[in-house]
Amino acid sequence: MAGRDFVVFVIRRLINAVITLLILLLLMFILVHAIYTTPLALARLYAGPHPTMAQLETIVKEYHLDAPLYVQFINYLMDVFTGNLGYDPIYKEPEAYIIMHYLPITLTFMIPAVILTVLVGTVLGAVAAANRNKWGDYFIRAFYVFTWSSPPYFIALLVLLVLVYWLGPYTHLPASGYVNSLLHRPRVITGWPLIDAIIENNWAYVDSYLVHMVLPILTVFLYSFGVYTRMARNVTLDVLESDYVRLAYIKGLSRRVVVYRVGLRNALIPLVTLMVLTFALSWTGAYVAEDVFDYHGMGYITTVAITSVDPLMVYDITLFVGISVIIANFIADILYGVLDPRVRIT
Amino acid sequence: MTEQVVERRGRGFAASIWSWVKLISRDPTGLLGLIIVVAFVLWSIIQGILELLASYLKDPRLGWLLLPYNPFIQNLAGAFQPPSWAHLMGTNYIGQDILSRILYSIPYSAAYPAFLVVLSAILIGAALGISAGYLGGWWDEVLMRVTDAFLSIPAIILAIVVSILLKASFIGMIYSFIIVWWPIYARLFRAETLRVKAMDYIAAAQLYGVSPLRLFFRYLFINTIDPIIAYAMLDFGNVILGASILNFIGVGLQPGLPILGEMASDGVSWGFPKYWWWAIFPSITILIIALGFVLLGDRLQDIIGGRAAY
Amino acid sequence: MLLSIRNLFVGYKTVMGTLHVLDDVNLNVDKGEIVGIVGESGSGKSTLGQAIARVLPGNAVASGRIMVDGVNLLELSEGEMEKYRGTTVFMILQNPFTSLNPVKTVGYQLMEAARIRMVRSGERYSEDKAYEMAIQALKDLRFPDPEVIMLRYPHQLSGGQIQRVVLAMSLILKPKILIADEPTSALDVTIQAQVINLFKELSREMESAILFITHDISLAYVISTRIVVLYAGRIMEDGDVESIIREPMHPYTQGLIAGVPDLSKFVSGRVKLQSIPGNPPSFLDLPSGCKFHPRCPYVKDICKVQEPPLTRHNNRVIRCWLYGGG
Repeated sequence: MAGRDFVVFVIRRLINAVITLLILLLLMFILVHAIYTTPLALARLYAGPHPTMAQLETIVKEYHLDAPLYVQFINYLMDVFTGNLGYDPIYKEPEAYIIMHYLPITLTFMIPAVILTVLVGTVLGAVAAANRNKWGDYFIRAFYVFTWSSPPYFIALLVLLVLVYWLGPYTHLPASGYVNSLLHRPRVITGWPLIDAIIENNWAYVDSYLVHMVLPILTVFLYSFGVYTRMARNVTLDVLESDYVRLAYIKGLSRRVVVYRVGLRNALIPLVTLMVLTFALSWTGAYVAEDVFDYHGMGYITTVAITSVDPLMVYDITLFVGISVIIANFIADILYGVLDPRVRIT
Repeated sequence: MTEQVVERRGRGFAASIWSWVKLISRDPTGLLGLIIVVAFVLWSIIQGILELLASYLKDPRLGWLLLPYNPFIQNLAGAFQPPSWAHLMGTNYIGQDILSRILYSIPYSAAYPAFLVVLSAILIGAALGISAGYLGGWWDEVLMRVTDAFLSIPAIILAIVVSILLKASFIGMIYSFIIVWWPIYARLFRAETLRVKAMDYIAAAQLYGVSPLRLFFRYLFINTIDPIIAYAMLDFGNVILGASILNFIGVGLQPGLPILGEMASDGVSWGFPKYWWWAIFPSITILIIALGFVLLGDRLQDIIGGRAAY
Repeated sequence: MLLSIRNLFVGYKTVMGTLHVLDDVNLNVDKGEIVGIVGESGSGKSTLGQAIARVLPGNAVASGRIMVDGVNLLELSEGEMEKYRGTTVFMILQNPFTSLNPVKTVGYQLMEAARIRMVRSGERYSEDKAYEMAIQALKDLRFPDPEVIMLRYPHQLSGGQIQRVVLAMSLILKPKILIADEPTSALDVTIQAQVINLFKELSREMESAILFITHDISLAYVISTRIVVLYAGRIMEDGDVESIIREPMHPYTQGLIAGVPDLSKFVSGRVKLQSIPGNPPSFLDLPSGCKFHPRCPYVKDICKVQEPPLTRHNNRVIRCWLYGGG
């Protein structure tokens, strides 16, 4: 039955994701080697600021930077798949270790923001499409055009201004940080501070953490909202003009059923792709939010890496971001199969 | 209806531009977008010419001929001034007039990156995408895979990486944007080529023995470019926003020259909301420019996509 | 009189202005009649069908009267019109591959129709009964394995099968007025014949008034009891099928018949045209006077200037200056 079909489908999508990942690694590899053409130049990536010639040469030997390119690439692949992303010259710790400390902090607020964007955006997009050119449509469009054209830092600043400085006494929201730094940090169980704190019943920490998450979530939500809702509206409009929607009307189904149960349900299929796009986009929003709110996550260490000239860190972080998007894509592919029988049943 | 549209094109470039303007302006938001974009482009051209003259004639004062103040002059006594009649947008930490700095920086903060990046991306994307769509086979497969991989990383983030690798200068940022931006256009051109390839007039041209280069330009490029122009209009806004984000984070700066994103960032680090005008006004400038492109691009996409019946 | 259309006008608002599509459409259809609405592509025939079911696109404007059971459908609100769709008016669309909801099974969609039928008849909904109704309808449409078909998704069916499913839906809904908009144009010829035969059988059983829209006049001849010829959004001729085919009065009708090998024998030797030169006009640029005059072999001066009204000649309705007017 469809069970076996589905498993085959999942495996095929998985292989596809892995291939994309390999190509991504290849591209990143080519990129680096196209810019840093000699082994010594490459060594600078791994060295700290102001390295001496002797230090550079040691690095070349240690990392086999003078080996033929394909050998380096194989080494690189093996390193990535075993989690070895290099040793950061400035922090003096393995990159992977540093990144795994900051990644959960970003994801903890980014994922709820994306979910919020998708839920609100889908509903509002459908409502706008269903009420085309009436007041609801105009209002929603005005809103998403505004958030779409705003630079994310502007959104962050507005959010800060309104919720903290004007309505501060009512909302008691903190202006920066991801948690009250005076609080005792939970033990590392999962590596995700919020979850660890919940497991430990450290409710003061949880409370502070959640309260600090509000502004960044709002910022990322508002930032991604524009693009997503516009697409949702356009996709729904296109679906609503299709023949089967017309036939559903002609059958005598009520307008609400036609728009939501037939139209929106079908629009979900292309929307799933958009959800992945939104996830990818929200990384950018997260970066900026972390900058403005002094939130110590991936964006934060990226900016630090930029100012302290640590290209290796920036590179590895970007790799992580890329991998996260590939994973999101994979999940979306699976959802696609669930939502669209044409994909999973041949 | 297609015949009418094709005929209209033949009636002269100026005439068809005007009919597009009318079409766009039927919708008030489209009109607003058009006005903003035209104002932005005109200002950038004028200011750019003044700058060119200034360096040619070795007289930098030409650069700020049209500005209320010399954007570089420092006046420590008048630092941190909130907006007033003298300084409509206030002053920064060394007393420079923010309005002048904003106006001065618009051409290279926004206009040059936008046009350079989008136009390069279109050219590269057209070459790769049309050839992939037209030739098919393994070349197509390779291109699809490569663009897939590129599109896995959000454009801005990838741009950050490349910029860093290229030493984070202004030019480095432009290059990195071009590298990051072309995959979308390659995809768009490929999709359009596939659609157009199935049409009879392409088969006719092939039978007729049209040379590949002529085929490419006269037939494929001309006929695939419409939806891409609409997208590109939106994309100008995207590039401007993206560049400002990179500038905000600290990438792609040019020491000595005011840059919009950087001004906003400085405003935040020196004290927000205490010196709110310093961060807010540059941000609003970017907002308005991007808004213009978004409104215009949205309207164009509706017209070309047939969704603008009324 | 089940369906009575008076002075129907339909236009579309577009970026290039308002297109006038249907004009001065007057038509009566009684139950049991099968009216073949014949017209070339771009004659507005689909618009006519959509206007009656009131599923015109959002940028359409319509005026006039579409009277069903004494009610003008054009004056109803959305909520009221909803009650008329399905059980009073139903429509079969041209492209089978886009007619059904791709994410729901055939069974689900048929039972959906059954539910509507039951609710409108005042019955309480019963899933078992709906299932029975669906199975029975599929059997009537000669599906050898209805239980299997119920579980299939639309993309697993062929074009002919989908049209039969939609026909099954109309059997379930039992509409008073059934509009078939080129239901077989997208199908292979052999499947076409099969579907047409089924259609003929079913129309004898149902007491609906059927409007069969097609560009193929020989198909209309096979199916209809009456033919209405549409050109440039106007009715040019309207009469019972045998007499229209044997003695077409309007030059356009004559041209249509002469152009079809099977039917031309009826009119050979008696008409000027063997085929009609030129193209139908675009709605952006309609000719003055009679819309057919640029292509008409009998054109007179008055045809270029003034549009002839619909007039009645014995049992024929005709719009042509050749037969007097006014």
